[in-house]
Amino acid sequence: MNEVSAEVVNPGPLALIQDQGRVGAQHLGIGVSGAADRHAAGWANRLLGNLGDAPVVEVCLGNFRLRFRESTQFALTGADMHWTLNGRPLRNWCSHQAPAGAILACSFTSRGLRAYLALRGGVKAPMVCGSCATSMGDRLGGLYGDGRPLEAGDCLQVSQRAFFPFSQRFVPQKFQRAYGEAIELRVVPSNQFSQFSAQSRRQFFASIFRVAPESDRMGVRMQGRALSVTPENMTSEAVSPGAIQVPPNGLPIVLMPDCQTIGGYPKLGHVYRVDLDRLAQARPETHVRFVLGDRAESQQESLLHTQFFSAQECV
Amino acid sequence: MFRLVESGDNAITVYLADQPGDQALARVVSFCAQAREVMAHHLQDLVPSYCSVTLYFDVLRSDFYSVRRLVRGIADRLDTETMPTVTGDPADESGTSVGKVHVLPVYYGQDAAMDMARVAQVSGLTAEQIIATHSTQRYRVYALGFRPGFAFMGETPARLRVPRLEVPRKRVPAGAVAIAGTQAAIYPSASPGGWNIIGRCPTTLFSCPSGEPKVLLGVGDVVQFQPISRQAFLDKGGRLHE
Repeated sequence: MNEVSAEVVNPGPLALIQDQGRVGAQHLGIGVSGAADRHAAGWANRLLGNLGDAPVVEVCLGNFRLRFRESTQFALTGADMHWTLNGRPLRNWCSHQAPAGAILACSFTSRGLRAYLALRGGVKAPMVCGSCATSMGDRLGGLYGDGRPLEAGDCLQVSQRAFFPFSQRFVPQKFQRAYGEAIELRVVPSNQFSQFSAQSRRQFFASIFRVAPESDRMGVRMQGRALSVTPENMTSEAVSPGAIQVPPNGLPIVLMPDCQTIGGYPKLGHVYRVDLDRLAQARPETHVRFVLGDRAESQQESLLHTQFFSAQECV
Repeated sequence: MFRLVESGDNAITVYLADQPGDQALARVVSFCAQAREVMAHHLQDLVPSYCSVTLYFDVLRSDFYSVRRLVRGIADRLDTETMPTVTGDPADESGTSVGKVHVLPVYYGQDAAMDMARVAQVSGLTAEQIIATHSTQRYRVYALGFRPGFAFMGETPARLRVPRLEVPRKRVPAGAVAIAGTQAAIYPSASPGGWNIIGRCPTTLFSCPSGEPKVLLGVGDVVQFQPISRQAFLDKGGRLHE
């Protein structure tokens, strides 16, 4: 093994260590967290032959800067942030090799919200309740285990296999995503769906909502025409990423990976887990349309995604 | 009597009662115990709440249909079983009651009880009456959520039912003892919050030493609050200025 490290020079607005999330502790009130766009994060690891759950850096909005202390292999996916290595432009959705001392930098993205940086071998971080994922709300995970986002001066450490030959890899064109100004999210009716009035349900699927600026890793809020009637007096129950909650103001909120484990707002349905990856990249004002999906399709796609990205370490 | 609804790609929620309360809780606790035995290899997690249990399954090892079949089996049997009583009476040694009993110390002094004046105004009680009312009631833990180790407890006595703050606080300190409507809680860690704070508890409710979560309160447990002095609070490791 070959220990290499890199120093965060500037984290930008928000940079977080994430993996596939903290599964199995929701009954203790501990949220799942994990990469918001699992498609992009999964590909970043795959390009390097990393384990599917290797910790990566989730860079939100951009302006991130890193200095490699040793020669390091890395991969970039997700929102195009105009990455450069020592000032020279780098391709996105692609693996690269940095010489010792090189500076990796990006500017702000104009499409999408989150980029993923994977280092070969995976960033080292303490396991907290079975995961390294940073949860700022729960104060768990990340480089120090306490939920802090990355800060200037933080040192990312990796164990890479020595003398591993580098060959540049690309994500096939078909799986590279460009994040546009409108998305469709497929929905499986769930929990309180039948308690919403027929009119509210029709209106929900007929409306075009826009992503509200006060959206984050806990939830993406919709703005637009509010649903007129929503069920009342619900008893709190478990909630999970993808749930579409409708608070009394009638404007849906789609829960994201940092959501709470229990909620008291009625739920119309759940967005397909694979479609949440696109929502995670939706900037404010992105148009969102919800379309009725079905259980079998939703579960099949979720299974395919999980099987594909849970593949073992390879060369 | 139960109802079963899917809850996303990898989860099913089973509703075991219509009204929250001790009967609902007994069914929820009993269901969870059996599901943990029978369904362990299918599940990633199961999350109980007031009237329901949500089962998260591992999509690589199980699917909706298998989980639904097993859930129906367990829920059907619940109707024919005698439920354990949930008296939570510490004197009850028959072993039929569920949940542990916790006596938690609370310092109710002015420097810890930010909303005592508000609660007094709404309830028409004096601080002494509020403390006496709050600390003689036994509370049941109905759910964990909101933050790691945060226990939703009930019921707050009718005289103490005060609505939550109109504008939530950005930061409620760890250990804050709070009430809102019929509910009661202790904030395990500093977080935003909108409940009325009437005291501070020095006991650690959630910690994560060497990466393993330690949570004091569990669903079905019983909590009783015991008033303590400022000095006793400090002696027990409580901190007032954090």
